[in-house]
Amino acid sequence: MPQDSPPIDYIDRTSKLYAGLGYPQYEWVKNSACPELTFLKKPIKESKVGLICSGGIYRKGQVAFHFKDDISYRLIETNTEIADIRTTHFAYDLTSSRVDPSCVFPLPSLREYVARGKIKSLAEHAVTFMGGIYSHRKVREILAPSIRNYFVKQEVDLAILVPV
Amino acid sequence: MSVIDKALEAIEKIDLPGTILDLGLLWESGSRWKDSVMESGPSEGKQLSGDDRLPRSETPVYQDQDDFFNAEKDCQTCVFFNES
Repeated sequence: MPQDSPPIDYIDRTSKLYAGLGYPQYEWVKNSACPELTFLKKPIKESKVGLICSGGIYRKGQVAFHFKDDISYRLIETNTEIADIRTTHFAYDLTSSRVDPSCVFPLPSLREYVARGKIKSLAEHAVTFMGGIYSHRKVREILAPSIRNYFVKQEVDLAILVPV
Repeated sequence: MSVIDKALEAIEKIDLPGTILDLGLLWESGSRWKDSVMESGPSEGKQLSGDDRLPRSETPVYQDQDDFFNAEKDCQTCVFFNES
């Protein structure tokens, strides 16, 4: 593994930081098992690809996200000009994403992949939502199944999640 | 090879749940930035991170003021839930 230093122990540091700031103990999600793998049914170059991004991305004309456990999502047409893409978020530095939204929403790259024949097509819409949702239950029971159902309806073969 | 190339390769090749593939990418400026990330206490050469998150409310926060005025009243591509 070509790392020049060990990965950051975010859980340990975050717990100590927030304890020092007087916040109650954060209840980290504890997953008892890895998710089950689903294998591709066809080669990627023959696949319809979905894009899911958690960076608080919306399109000009859409309602923006709010910062308090917003579990709504936006459907962004995959032919949208990148100049019409906006970002909003309470917990990451938006400087770069507002200069070049493709760093958190790699739609131009995926369109190029379609043009080069590396993937067959993109879903009609990309799906974006607000990361930093503190309710694990709402993500698991409401948000994630709805996104899954949307992509199933769109007959997407695989989806790429870009977390921020 | 781009990050997306690597992601697509992972989708094709990973056959064991929990597998992590290293992208082999490093920041040009090195890894000293890791020293102060979420750091709870000041120590030599380090700066206290504090809490730099923005206040949280249920009012949409727009990148630009124009976006607020241009937001579609009945946004057909905005999916909301009646939470429970």
